Amino acid sequence: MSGDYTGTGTRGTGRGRLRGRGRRWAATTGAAALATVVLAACGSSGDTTATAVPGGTGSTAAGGSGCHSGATNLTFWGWSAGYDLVVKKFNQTHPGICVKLENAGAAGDEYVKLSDALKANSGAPDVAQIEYFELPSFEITKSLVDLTPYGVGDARTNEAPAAWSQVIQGSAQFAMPVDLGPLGLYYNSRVFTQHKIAVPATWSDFAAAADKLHAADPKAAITNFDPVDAQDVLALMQQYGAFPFTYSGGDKLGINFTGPAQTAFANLWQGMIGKKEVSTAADFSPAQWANLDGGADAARISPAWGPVGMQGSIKKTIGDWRAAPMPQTQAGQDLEGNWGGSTLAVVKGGAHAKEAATFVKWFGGSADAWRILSGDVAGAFPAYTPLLNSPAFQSRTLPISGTSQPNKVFAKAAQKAEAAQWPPIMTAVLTQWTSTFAEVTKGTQTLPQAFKTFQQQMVKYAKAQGFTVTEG
Amino acid sequence: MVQKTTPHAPPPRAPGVTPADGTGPPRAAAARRPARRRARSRQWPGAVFISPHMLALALFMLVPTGYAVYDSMQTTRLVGGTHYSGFANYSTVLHSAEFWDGVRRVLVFTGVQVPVTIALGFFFAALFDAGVVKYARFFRTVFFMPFAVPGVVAAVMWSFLLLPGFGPYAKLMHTLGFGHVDFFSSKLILPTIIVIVIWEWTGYNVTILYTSLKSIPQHVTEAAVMDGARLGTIVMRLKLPMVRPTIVMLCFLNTVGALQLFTEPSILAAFQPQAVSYGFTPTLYVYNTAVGSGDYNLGAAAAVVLALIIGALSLGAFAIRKRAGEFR
Repeated sequence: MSGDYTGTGTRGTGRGRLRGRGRRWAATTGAAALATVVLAACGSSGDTTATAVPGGTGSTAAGGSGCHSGATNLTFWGWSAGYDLVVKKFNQTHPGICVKLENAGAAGDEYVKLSDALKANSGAPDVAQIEYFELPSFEITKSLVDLTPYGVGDARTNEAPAAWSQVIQGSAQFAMPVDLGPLGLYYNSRVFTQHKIAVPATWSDFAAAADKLHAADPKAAITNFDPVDAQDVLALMQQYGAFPFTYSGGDKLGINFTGPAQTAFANLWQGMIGKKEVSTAADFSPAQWANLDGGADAARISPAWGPVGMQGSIKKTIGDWRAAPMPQTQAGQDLEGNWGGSTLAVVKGGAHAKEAATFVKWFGGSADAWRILSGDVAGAFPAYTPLLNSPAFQSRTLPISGTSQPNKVFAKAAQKAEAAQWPPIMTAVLTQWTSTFAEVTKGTQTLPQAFKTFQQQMVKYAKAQGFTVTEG
Repeated sequence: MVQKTTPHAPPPRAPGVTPADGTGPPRAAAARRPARRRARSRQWPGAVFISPHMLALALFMLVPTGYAVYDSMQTTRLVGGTHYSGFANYSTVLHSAEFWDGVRRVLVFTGVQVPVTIALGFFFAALFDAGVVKYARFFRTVFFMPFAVPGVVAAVMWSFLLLPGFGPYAKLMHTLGFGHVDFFSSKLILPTIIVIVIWEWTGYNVTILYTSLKSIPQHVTEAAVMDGARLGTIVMRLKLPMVRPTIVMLCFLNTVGALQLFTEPSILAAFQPQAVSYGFTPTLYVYNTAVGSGDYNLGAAAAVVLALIIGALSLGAFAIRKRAGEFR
């Protein structure tokens, strides 16, 4: 892996990439799987964000960009739905700066292009949307501007700690957090009531509930566990207290898929997979939606942004889903996990770092921006605490969950989630994960075996990349 | 630059004609014959005409290939930067079981897909040529349609058709009593891809073979009919041998295409990630290594190895064709 090419996309196989990132994007935009695949496959800049939204923001000056003449021009690469509306609002309220949003592809596609532009020393944007897990890959190649001198640090008081720690490396701040994806447990209240299953408070309760449900209905599974989805599994491992990576900048990297906590995690899920008490459909696949809608999956461990895609794909069970906090490894604990979320980073080499910093700080940390970001079009889950803590936000209802208020669960999880220490080799992790963990779906390997294999693969890769690797 | 020689002198090699390396555009071989027949005096305009192609070839083929070779001899690490590493990357590729698995898989794929596609292509072309099909022109267009559909779209479409628990074919198999057939399982994924690619390419082969069959002079067929040959005999004993050069060329084109199998598995992987592994085909291995794992140096080395393998196979095919007297 070249020093200049670190952040390269994970889209390649179409697998690690497409799934890890494209899928999240798909879920958040509620786009059909077909559209995602086609767009992703073509490496197209499928511009789902630029669609005009009727009655979106209050209409502005004629024209469209809302820019004032003589303003400093900034280019911004981003793909999430609704970002165009936020940019428009910024341009209206900041006469001195004119931000132009470009869709350079979603997630992995964008990272590939960004790496290429950085290597070529031309064509890179001033600001780029980068997910938390990919930041260290760009940090280690010194591609991002440290925002500390520009006063972006003031935004800290308004950000969930998990979001903030993931944009910090040492004394430097490499991005402004935008959204988060804290995990919660959505369960089908009808199925749970029918089989007299209590909402599990611990993971052993969860396994017991899986047994009970499967005994009552051999076709039913407690939930879906997709071994092939690295981000899904890593989020669950984090929540379980078994996150396999330790990294705090520099050339030292910890990789541990075979420690006691990781092994306990692997055994827990392998037990349920082996007994067919969890299904192993691909995340966001039609099969998964069919399972959720047909009663074959009684629960879904979901990030806060999960319902967007779910609502678009289920019909029969809409309104039956209730949110509960994640089961804990031990009763009384409060471990939370996070899956997904984006940041805005200022890319090195641009001439307007100061203006770019102003923009990113406003984008992730202002009430104006969040009014749009948390709206129906964007549907992002905030890391921005004034919104996270507001009663209006917490009492919102969703079609999938009837009159219940899932945001109460997720807002709490967002506040308590711990930051994951993403390794700067995430690109390779996502790519190589797919093949290895597919063996678990196929049943030709167990999850503990796959962990062992992956441990060796990653240690070998990291060492070849020049890292000093600590195992265990 | 071009000197006149006596008409009896052996024709010089036409400018711009490179030995078949399997990497040039498919039509290069076809264009060669007329070029070589040209008298020397007419070579200068010829060179002018082919120069845009040569320029494109240089820009988009030779330069990138040269860069790939250069890149394959470097090693760039996240920590520590870039250094010259000689043949270390080649050694890694040549010792990679995953790479060779992909090579083997693609050879199996080629061994099945190419003969079946050409046989089907000939069958339908002969059928159309024999004039026994009503609305032949309409059906010829229908047959060609899959080829007009981009491979990406075709693969997506087929993915939906074959998706377990979702697509109509899985349901059909269930109804027919085959149980739950998973077309994307590790056992069936290769046959599934073979079927998709055959579907995509048969029409193309039909079109080429049909044109070739049409070029057989009418009187030859008439003579055979006069001699009392039946339709089957005419097709198999008369027409088939006469279009043999076309079939040999199609074998060559289809094989080169098959060895580079990429689009279909990569799209199917998006639907069913567990079905298609990291190095399912050599091209996927190259892509996943370079773009996926960010190891451009190793990816470049794998690409060069792959190019050498395909080049060797192409040269072999070229030698066979030459021996068969195809190039006069």
